[in-house]
Amino acid sequence: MQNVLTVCPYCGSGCSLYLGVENGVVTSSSPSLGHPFGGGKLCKRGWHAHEFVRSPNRLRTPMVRKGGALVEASWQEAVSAIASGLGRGPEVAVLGSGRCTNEDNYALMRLGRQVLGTNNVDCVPRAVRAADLAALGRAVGAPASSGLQAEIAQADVIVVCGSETEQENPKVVTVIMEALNAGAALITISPRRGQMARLARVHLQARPGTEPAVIAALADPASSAGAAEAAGVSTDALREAAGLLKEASKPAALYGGNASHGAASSAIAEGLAALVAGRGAIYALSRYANLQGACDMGLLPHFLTGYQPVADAQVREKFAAKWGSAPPADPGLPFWRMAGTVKSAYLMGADPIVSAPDPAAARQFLEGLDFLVVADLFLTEAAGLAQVVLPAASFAEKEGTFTSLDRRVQRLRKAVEPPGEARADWQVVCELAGALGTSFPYGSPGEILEEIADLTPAYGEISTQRLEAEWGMQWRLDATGGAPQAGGAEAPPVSTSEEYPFVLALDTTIGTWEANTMCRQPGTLQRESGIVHADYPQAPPVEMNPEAMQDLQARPLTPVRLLTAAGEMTAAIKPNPEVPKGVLLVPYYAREQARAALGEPVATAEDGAPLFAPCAVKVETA
Amino acid sequence: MAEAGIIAKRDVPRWIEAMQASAEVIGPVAQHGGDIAYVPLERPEEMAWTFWNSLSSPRDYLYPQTDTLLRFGRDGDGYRVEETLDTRKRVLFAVRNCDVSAIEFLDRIMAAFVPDTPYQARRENTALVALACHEPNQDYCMCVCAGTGPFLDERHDVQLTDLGEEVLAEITTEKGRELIQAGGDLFKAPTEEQIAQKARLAEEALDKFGPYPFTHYVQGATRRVSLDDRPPEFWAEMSDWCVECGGCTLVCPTCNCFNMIDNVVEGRGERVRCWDSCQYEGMTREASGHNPRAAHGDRVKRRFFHKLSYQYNQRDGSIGCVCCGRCIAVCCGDLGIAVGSRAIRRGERS
Amino acid sequence: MSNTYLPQIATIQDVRDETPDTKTFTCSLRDKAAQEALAFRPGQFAEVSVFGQGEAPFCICSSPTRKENFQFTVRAVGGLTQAMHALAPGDEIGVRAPLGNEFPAEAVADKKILFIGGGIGLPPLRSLIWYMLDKRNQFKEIRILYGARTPTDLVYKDELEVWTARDDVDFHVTVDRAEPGWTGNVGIVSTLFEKVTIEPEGTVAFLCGPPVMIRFVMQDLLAMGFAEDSVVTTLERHMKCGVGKCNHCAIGHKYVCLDGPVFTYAQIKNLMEQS
Repeated sequence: MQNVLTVCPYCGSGCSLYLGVENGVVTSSSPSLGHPFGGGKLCKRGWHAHEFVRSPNRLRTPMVRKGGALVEASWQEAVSAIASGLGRGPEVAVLGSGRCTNEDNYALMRLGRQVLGTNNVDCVPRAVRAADLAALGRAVGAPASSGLQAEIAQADVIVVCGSETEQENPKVVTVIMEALNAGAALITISPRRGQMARLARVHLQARPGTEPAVIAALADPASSAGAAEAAGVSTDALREAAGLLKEASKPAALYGGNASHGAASSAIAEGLAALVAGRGAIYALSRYANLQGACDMGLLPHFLTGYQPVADAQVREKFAAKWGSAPPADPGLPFWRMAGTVKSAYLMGADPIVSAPDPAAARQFLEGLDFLVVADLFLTEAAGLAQVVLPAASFAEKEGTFTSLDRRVQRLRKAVEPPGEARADWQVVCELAGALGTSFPYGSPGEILEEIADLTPAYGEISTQRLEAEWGMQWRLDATGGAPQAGGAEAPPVSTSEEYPFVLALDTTIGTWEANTMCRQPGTLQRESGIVHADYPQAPPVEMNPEAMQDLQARPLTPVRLLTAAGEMTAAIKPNPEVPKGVLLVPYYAREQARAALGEPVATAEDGAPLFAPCAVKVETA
Repeated sequence: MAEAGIIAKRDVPRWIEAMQASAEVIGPVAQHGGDIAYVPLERPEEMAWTFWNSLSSPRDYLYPQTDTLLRFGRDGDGYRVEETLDTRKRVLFAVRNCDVSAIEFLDRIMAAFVPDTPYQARRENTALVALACHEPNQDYCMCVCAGTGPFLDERHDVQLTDLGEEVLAEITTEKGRELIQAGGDLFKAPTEEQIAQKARLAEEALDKFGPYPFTHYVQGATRRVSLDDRPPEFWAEMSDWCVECGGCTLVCPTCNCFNMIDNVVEGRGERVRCWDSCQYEGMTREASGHNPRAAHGDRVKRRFFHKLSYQYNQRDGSIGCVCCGRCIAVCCGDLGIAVGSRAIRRGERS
Repeated sequence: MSNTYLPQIATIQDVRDETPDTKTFTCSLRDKAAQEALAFRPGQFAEVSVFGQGEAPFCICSSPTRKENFQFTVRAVGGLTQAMHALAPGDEIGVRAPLGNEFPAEAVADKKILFIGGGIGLPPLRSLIWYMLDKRNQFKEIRILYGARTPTDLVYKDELEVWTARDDVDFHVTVDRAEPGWTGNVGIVSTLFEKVTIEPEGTVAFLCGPPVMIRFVMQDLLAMGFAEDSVVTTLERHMKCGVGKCNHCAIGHKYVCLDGPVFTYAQIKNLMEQS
């Protein structure tokens, strides 16, 4: 029995864990006491990180579409098909992953920019975060959290906005609780009175969409009355929270999925950053083990690594000197604007139909491509649309690095061999580059990391040796190339009326992890993840206050129609006293079904994907 | 005292090698991140002598996190099923007495009513060599609350006491005697002084537990949970300090909830047993959707009941907690056995 | 040592539709000697393997007096039961049996017997019903009260007619909601109490049905004056091992698979988490 120290592939907290290996198979997952962030602890997903690795559903051979169906093929055939199928320049795109390593993502980015001659380089999970990350970047110098998660334990006042943190990043709750036990005050902003709210000194049960006004009032108590009324919170509570923040010497502000998935996201990030500026840190929570790294690696249409702009000639020259030829000068298209121009794409480690803000648009985009390659662990819905499918190695089966949400770059270590003919993504990309006429000189992920360090000031001090000797390394915010400058857009306010008396909003609390393919592989985690789908097999749940359910003279699971000015959707009642009377919450994973009622996603920042906004709604029993 | 031998500490690796002629010897070794883990002693000189404990109990060698119970496949027309029992000979070496006690506890559970064949197949072929503790970890250790250490006169096959340059090995069972004999003349008879030194160390270890509140709390909590004496609101509040990671149950050496799943890969099937947790929502959820422990507070209550109640004490022969303290180390929230017991006794979290 | 978790192979001999989502499987162990030797008691259950899907507990709903085979009545609610519904005569399953405790039978030969079944709760009782009917002269008065949501949801429709026709059984059936053509009683199963004379003293009641029904009918019986150890039920819980090791079916310190599934009211009234 061997214990291999590596990093958890689930959320962005970057917990280290030991994979137990017996006879070449991973059989267990356990924490490391020594890790500086929550040492000795793992969440439910971390404790079962070994389960999906050995799933019988793992892709084991490449597949090529012949006569309408995907059939097994050799690597040679697959690579050859990809080399001739992928376009060049503005007509091709490469899409990387929030769960692949920095080395995988860097290699893919180089393939796109140098070999395919395109800046249509993006990472799908970034799409929903583009707006708030851009705002974060303007505020703190780079689109990343400005403190270490472990430091939250020393904060004296903590603001948590739009996050049922115990659901999305449980280890962050660990440090919040440490702070609470040391006397800190917690202020929560959320429409739901959930676990975080119950632990809070002040809970601001703000209606969806009103968070920016509430946050502004926390900084400027003079605007309390107006903000309180719009949000449906008490002026006293707002003033008490503002008072706590005023006296704080070391505040921390956190925002999570419910803040970042909606149209108010950049305003929330901006407001929270301003609240703690000069005194404390802001944290953007994340459900992706390496979304931070993916962005750091330049999986962005207008940036190379470390947020160095492609438009900057000196930057391009620097990369050209290393690569042998320069990346193109004009920024490319972000994922949500690719449809119509991009005709072929290489999609690595992501399923846009699950992770894109607008799944219907994502599906349409993929279906409309002439040629799609998908490299993944499982046959996802996106893979089912591809012309070539490649079996990829999981986090347990390769070396490389992840960058956590607090900028800690950490080493993964290979524990077992990948199944069948699956391969590490960086290796596949190198082979593809070779087939396309450009030889990538990397013999190992360590060599890729060296090149990243050479070309990226923020990663300049990072090396395999240093990562080996320490618990990873955090890159410095002041060492980056900059942040996108465009401003945020105002989220449209929601006004209810007699006809449409409720506010309907998407909510990431229920079912978001459960939609992730890794959570749905055989094992104990699969059972836990299957509950919401077993309870609501067709129409998604709509959480409403039990009194609201009574007013409708309905019962749990009663099907209802949610009608808005834009249209309607069907849902099944899930009574929840945590939800206030005027609010209806539909799970984020059901946004495709909710689209008809929510209407078109709204434009956010210039550099942000359109995101769904809350709207006014009425309910009728079906 | 029981029959005993003295071995020089620098000779212990050779003793281990002698035992390795006929068994896998598993002992504590510092891992990459500095954590102690019980692993096969491929290089016996790497064995650690000064440490608190591992986060994963060595009882995992008797009851692994993932364990293939049987394989099945189609054989012509019909199904063929074959068991996959692990009967490798093992010595679990330098195990803390809390873990030794947990193994003894599991021995009783796994033999009660209907035997757990996979566990027994491993257990029959495993010997336990304890390493007594000189000093508790002030953050975690509570063995005195459950009578599971730091020194014990029974439950192990051999008990080692670290005397500095030398190690005293007390023989508890015939199996233990065979292990000592494998070391041949590496062992000498102990002197009076060495025997006295061990007795002193055992006394001093008890003193180092200090003015511990936990004994009081654990006993008080036992009474309350047995009588189901705290209202649902109390458990709901407790559950707000828990994030359902399941860590407490996954490191607990007496916990034995498990799930069974069938995996079929390329026509070959295996039935695998994997650890489960009473803290997870799906543990009691029936196929119909009905869940007797739907409320988070009910699940928190369940854990404390199983670990501390009189009813289980009566059923299983001892309290369900060996007070190793691991659940305190791994709790992502703030609900380790000590904090929890104190809150149960007081009726509120403070 | 025989391996507790190793199932025996059984062949499905017959599959019968009871309702749109419920089927009865008649099975026999592939090893004929083992089938001969299979000795179970009414009330016991089996862990049934649908290979590739896993195992699930089902009560053996046939009587041990009929030795050639054994039966399970299964409602399709999840992955495993749906996979089982796709099986046909000739297909094989795995069986670990018999598990659990048993209904008192000979021990109550001096009492009047009252069966109360609700919906899918009739199958566990059926094992004891046929056991007693097959040994009719060993038992006294037998009364069966059965209710389901609608006539379509009644299980063992043929056998209900047999019980109606027999003059040594007092059988009454009701439905919550009638359907066209139904001429029988309408109302929940406890409405049948008005149609019969029940003497609590000297009667033992066996009841099974959905958790809500069990709770309410138990209260009704106790209010009528039944002794706490004369009200017998069989409980259901999510199970895995079926032998008291995996802890899924624990209620308090009792295990439904070991101490049950048959329990008297006296035994469960003090357990925590009784729902």
